[in-house]
Amino acid sequence: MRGQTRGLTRSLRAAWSRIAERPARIVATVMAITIGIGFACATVVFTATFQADFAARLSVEYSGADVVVTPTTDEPVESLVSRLDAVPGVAAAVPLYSSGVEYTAAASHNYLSLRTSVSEPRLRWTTLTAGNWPSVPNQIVLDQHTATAANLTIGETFTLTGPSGPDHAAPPTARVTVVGITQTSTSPYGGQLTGFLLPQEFSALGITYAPQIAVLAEPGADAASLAATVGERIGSGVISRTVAEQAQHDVAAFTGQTAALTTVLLGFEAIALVVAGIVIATTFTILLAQRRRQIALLRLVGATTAQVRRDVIVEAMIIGGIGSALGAALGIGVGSIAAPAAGLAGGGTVIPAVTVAVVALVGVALTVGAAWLPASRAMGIPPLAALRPVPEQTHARGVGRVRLTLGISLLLVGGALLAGGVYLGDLIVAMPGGAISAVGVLLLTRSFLPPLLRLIGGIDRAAGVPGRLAVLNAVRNPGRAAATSAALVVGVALIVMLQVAAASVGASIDKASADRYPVDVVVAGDGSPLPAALVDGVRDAKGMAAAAAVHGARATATVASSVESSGAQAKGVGPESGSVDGDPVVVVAAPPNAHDVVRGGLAALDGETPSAPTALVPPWWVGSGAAKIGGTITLSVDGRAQQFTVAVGRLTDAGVLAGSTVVVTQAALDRLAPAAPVVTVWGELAADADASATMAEVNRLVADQPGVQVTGAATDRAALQSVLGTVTAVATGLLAVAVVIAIVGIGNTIGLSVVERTRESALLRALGLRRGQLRLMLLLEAMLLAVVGTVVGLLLGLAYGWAGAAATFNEIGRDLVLSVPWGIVGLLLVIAVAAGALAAVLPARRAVRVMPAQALAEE
Amino acid sequence: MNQITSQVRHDRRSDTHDGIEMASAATDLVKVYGSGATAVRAVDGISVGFARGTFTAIMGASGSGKSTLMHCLAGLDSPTSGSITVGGTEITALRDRDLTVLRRDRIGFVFQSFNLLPTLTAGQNITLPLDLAGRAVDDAVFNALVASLGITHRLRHLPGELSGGEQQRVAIARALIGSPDVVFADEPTGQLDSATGHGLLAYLRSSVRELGRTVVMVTHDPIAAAYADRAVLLADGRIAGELAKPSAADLLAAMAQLNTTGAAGRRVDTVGA
Repeated sequence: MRGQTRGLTRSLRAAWSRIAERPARIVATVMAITIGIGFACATVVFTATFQADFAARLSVEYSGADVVVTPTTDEPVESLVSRLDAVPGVAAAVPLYSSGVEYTAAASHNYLSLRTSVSEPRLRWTTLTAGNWPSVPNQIVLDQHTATAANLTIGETFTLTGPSGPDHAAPPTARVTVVGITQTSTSPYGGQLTGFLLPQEFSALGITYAPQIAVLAEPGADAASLAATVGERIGSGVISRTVAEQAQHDVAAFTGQTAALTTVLLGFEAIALVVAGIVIATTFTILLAQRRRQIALLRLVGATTAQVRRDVIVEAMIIGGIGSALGAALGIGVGSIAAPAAGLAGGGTVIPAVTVAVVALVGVALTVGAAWLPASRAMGIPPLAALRPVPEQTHARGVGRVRLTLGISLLLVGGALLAGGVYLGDLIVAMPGGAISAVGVLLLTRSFLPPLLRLIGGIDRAAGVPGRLAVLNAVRNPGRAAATSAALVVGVALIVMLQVAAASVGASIDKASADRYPVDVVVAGDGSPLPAALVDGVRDAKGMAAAAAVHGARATATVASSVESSGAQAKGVGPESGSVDGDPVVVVAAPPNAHDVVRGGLAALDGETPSAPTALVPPWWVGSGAAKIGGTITLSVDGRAQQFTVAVGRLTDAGVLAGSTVVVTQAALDRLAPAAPVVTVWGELAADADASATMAEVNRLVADQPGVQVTGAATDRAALQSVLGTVTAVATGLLAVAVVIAIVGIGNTIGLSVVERTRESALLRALGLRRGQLRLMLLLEAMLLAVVGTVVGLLLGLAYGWAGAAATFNEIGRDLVLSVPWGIVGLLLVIAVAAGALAAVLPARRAVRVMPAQALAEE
Repeated sequence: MNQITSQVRHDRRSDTHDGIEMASAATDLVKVYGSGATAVRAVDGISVGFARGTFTAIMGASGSGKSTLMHCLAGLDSPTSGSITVGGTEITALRDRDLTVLRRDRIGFVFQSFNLLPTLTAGQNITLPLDLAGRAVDDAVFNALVASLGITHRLRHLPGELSGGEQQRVAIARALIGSPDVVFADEPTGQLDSATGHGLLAYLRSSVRELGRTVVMVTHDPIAAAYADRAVLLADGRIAGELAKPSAADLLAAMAQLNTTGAAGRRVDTVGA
């Protein structure tokens, strides 16, 4: 026992002296851990703060009470309140109403959420900015948002209309006067119009239910025991909780969202930590390779294999501890800045110390875990190695047969599952297939990276001897190169996968909506003429490829009664009764350049003759039996009438045109309504248009045109682009953490290799390699590793992104359009090259500083 | 043999001494490591010249400053004071870039621990200085060189696959391929068995005699030094004596005398006369 303690002390001292001797060696490792753990801790702080903020918002109304009672029966709240008042220990019971009522004011008419104006100061959760709280009946306080929206000020009187009773009696009303304005509500239910009324006035409006009753305890009473007493006394009709319990309960009921957020963030953390783990493991492998002689010497003088490993593990614990501590500090700092910056610190900044500590421990465990395999390998160094000269790297150790077999098996099995999942459209099959094959690919990196490095390194040869040496150095240790690049492969592959999947999903949905809506943009009113400026504005909007001014007129439709159709004869007033006779419709003419803006659907109009023109009618006319394809319909405009053959084209089928629009040819319209004005504009977006921006511009144009609306495929496209854009941007940002760690890893590998190759660098300098050339050599080596990692990551990301999107779309039975965001792919490559170069800057500085003679001196 | 020589004079900074062209020369060379109380004068005022077409051995015990002298002569280390010329070019004032190019084009190196680049094949190692200079390899010269060294069949191998002797032959080929002004060899036989070592030394001597190369070899081994035309003895950073056409026995005696009398600044010009 004592021997063990002494052994541990020796290990600690030895490990510490190694770290202190060359602190530069562990900087990169510490950095990788710090970034990974910092990211995790920032997430922990952010979500905890966000949850506290959420809880504060949810419980804002009752946070001043002691006990919250939730009625579970329809017992009138006033009766419940009087029973509560009788419970010993209860000082007051205040119903917290929340009811929607109609209001009618001079300038507005809408719905208002009515809440209780409490008289107990403890329970007031919002502050007055003007006026007073209600003190007598028929007084109301509005929040600022409501006062503005409803255009009401203090002193104005308006009418509230309560819910209508069960017996269809006239709903109760009340006249109320605004006496005060509060600041805008911060409740999560906020955003709606809100008014505060004294509790006794709700019953007059027919409101007898309050979702919660706030109970105040008498001085000295304990909230928990009061909650229990209330529960016993009132019986089964209520749930009685302390405020803390109630807040917990409410948060839990809402937590679906925050839990999902936490899960997603945890996923990204796991990725960042895996990448950090790869970097750490690589570092230890290199460090131990360099310390081979030293370890052998230890063994020579009597260290056991277990002691050798313990030395390494203790060192890992120290490095992991430093990195995790720095990471926790960094994460807490970032989290406590980010949450308030995002406006989510209503509940104060919350730092969950235990969770942060656990995350930091995970960092230490990760470091030790990553060092375990290299440490175990170090145990195998024979004592004799100390007596031999440093072994020259003759040729690369062959790839282990086990690794090769396992890698290929996993790749094949996973690939088959993935292919099957894509083919069957089953994500449950495809996802594990993707994961298994990805592990296989990572196992095989050692086999395929060196040839790839040589291949891509061909470009480096243009840089002469330094380039050639860079390639040879990059491949001289395939395991190291593979592990270094693998970290980058993971990060890049995930980003590209996400981008490709998002772009493919977006493109597929674009295509689906383009199929559904034959017109991208429809600007239409109720048949009134559109101003010429609007037509020109839409045509000139940025991103609009073509626009057509569509002429039309208000008309009346009459379906010939001879049409044999089940419901056509029935006289009625609406579509649901199967007739459209006498209904007002807008008849529009397909414009001459219709084919520029309409994707098919006009074929039925082609080849019509003036004697038998065709009309495209809304599909529901046919669906409801009011009209029949091939039947006859009469359209009348100002007494002029004409018979048309009924057809339904995709144009009307798609529902892009307002409910009752009938499309005819321009010639037919000219006969029916000569000189009909422009009543609608159809537009086609350019293929590369930013749908959101274009739609925003068009919407601005119609803002001052009452009754004019903008519809069409582009609306869907705009909404989709914005949602997908936000999601992928956030996820890419989070994955970028992993890429940053991987780049640190490249710098680390190059840095450690430089230390290892000091003599070699000196020799090259002695033989005539200039400083700049040496720097160039290291730069090229780092860039090569970065580029290869990025290229492999890109290819994997493209494949997996496509597979994921394909499986999803097969599952929901839609056609997939594969879309590759080449811009982002290109950007990633550029970033990788730049980051690789950056990673080599510090090691290169160190390498060129060495005087040739110093390094060549015999050790 | 056994003749005492003092033909090298140290009072002129020039690449010629008495009309003899110098491939390499140093004048009043001082190299101090460290500063203050811990300062070590590794080279303490040495003036020496190496004529073209000669094979010189620099001898001395460990710590005598012979490696430092060589590093300074070869432009691998910068002297504290004094002047160094290579083929007539003063190198102490050269910028790093020019010095690097000078090393590349005009100096050849052979080291004790071979110092081949492990990632390059033997052939690539040999042509490395030319590749670095962007100079074309003369196939006839290359083939004759590797044939004379007997390594023609090993050119495609990596250094790790070669024996020590083969590696050192590759290193010698690399040092000679560019026809440098001077080849510096640092204990070239230190890690070889004696038979292999003799072969290499004989080759170096023949390259001097038959091809007119200039070789400066640092060694502490009298047998190796006996292959040279001349031996310069060093002790405590100063020249302690010189021997022309020395035999191993002469050198052994001279070294022994240095060790017993203590060297401090003493010249041993008259050994074994």
